[in-house]
Amino acid sequence: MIPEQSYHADRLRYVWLCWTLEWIFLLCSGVGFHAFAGNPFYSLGVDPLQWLPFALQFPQWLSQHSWLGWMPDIGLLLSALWLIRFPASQRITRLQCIVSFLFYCTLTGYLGHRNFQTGMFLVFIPFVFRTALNRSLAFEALRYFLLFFYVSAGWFKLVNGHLFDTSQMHSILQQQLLPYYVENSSNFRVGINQFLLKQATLAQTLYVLSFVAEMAALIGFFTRRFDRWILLALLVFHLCNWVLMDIAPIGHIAFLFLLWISRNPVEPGTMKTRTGESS
Amino acid sequence: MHHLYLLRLYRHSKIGFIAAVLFVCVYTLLLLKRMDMMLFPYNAMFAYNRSAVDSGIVYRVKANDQPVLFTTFAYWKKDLLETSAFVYGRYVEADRKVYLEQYLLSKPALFQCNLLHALYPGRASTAGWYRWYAAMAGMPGATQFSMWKYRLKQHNNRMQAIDSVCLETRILP
Repeated sequence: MIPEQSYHADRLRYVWLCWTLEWIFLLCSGVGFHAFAGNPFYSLGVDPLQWLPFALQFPQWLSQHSWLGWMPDIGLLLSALWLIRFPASQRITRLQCIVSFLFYCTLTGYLGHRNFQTGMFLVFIPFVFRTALNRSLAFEALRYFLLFFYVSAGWFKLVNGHLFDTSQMHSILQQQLLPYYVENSSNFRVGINQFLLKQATLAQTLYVLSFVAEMAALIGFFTRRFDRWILLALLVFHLCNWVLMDIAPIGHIAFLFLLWISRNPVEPGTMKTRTGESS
Repeated sequence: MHHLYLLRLYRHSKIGFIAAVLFVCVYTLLLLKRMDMMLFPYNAMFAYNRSAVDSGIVYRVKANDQPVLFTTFAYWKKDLLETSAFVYGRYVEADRKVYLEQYLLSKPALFQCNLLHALYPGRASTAGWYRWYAAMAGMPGATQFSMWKYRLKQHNNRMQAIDSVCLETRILP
């Protein structure tokens, strides 16, 4: 039997392009390995994966000098540009995966919290494998994890009974933009926040819509036919999240774009051999 | 039936199959135990109960008596400055113990081996965080720092500070 490939290999360079743009945005906003130079304080979570680099003193060593941090920052950028030119370059993907994992650990360690940073290194995982079939199967596994990421958030909203409790979204809105209020900011985001604080039902409707967008990912467990629609729903969800909650998905969009390169089984395209590239 | 992912994975690679099943089992167990921040933390995205809370807390740093402002910075820098001030503020309040240290202290003695101490920042050096923080926010060269905690409550559709307390002051050469 000739197995089908689970993703469009010819579209992979656009995922790397997206990752590169996100990384450039991150560097331009003043964050990267170099940003932690001189910072002696970090606070780790309970994720043993995150402990490893800190136990080896790697982030602590890297934060001693700014130039030490700039090396992996520039390295990640150059490797990302290389991947746009040669999307299937396996060695560079492996390198990128390791360094971006270290960045994830360092960033979340110094931040002391996480939201969407995991996708920054997870996106590389399927493409570190040597054979096309391994990559295809790893891609499918990661796609399921991505879908689970959203479905579980929707599921917990449902079982915790918050969908029709208007005080839930009201309370979230009260707490989400506090630094803006302390700084007496009056930008558009604060304006929207004030408007929604008055409109508890409308605010809760948005909460329910976010639940719908998250649960849309459930369809992806049964068919790949609607992956692009799921992607669209999730992008709209993240855009609204950015505007209303000030939580940007930058660092996560390339991971989401895996849904865009996902191949519908009914589309043409099969693999020639178990070790070769797709036709 | 032959299209099932795990079945295809089993046919192709037994090791891959075992790894996938193990991952699913461990993840399910962690979620059932509400240890959702343990492995590739997923993000509940406001799924947990917030309705009981009616006020909010913000930590703010002052450098040379001037508040360090950050909300006008680009997203990532703003997030870094906002969150690290929050985490450092909590650290000061918790008698200079980071979250992981507090967490492991609440566990049986089995979890308190000396090796884990490498995962906490050295208490003597952490005050240097203020200098890094101020420089990051565009206030390099400051020598006097203080950490403030503000409590805000809703008043006329706007959150307003109702009290503030200085948690610590530091003078760094």
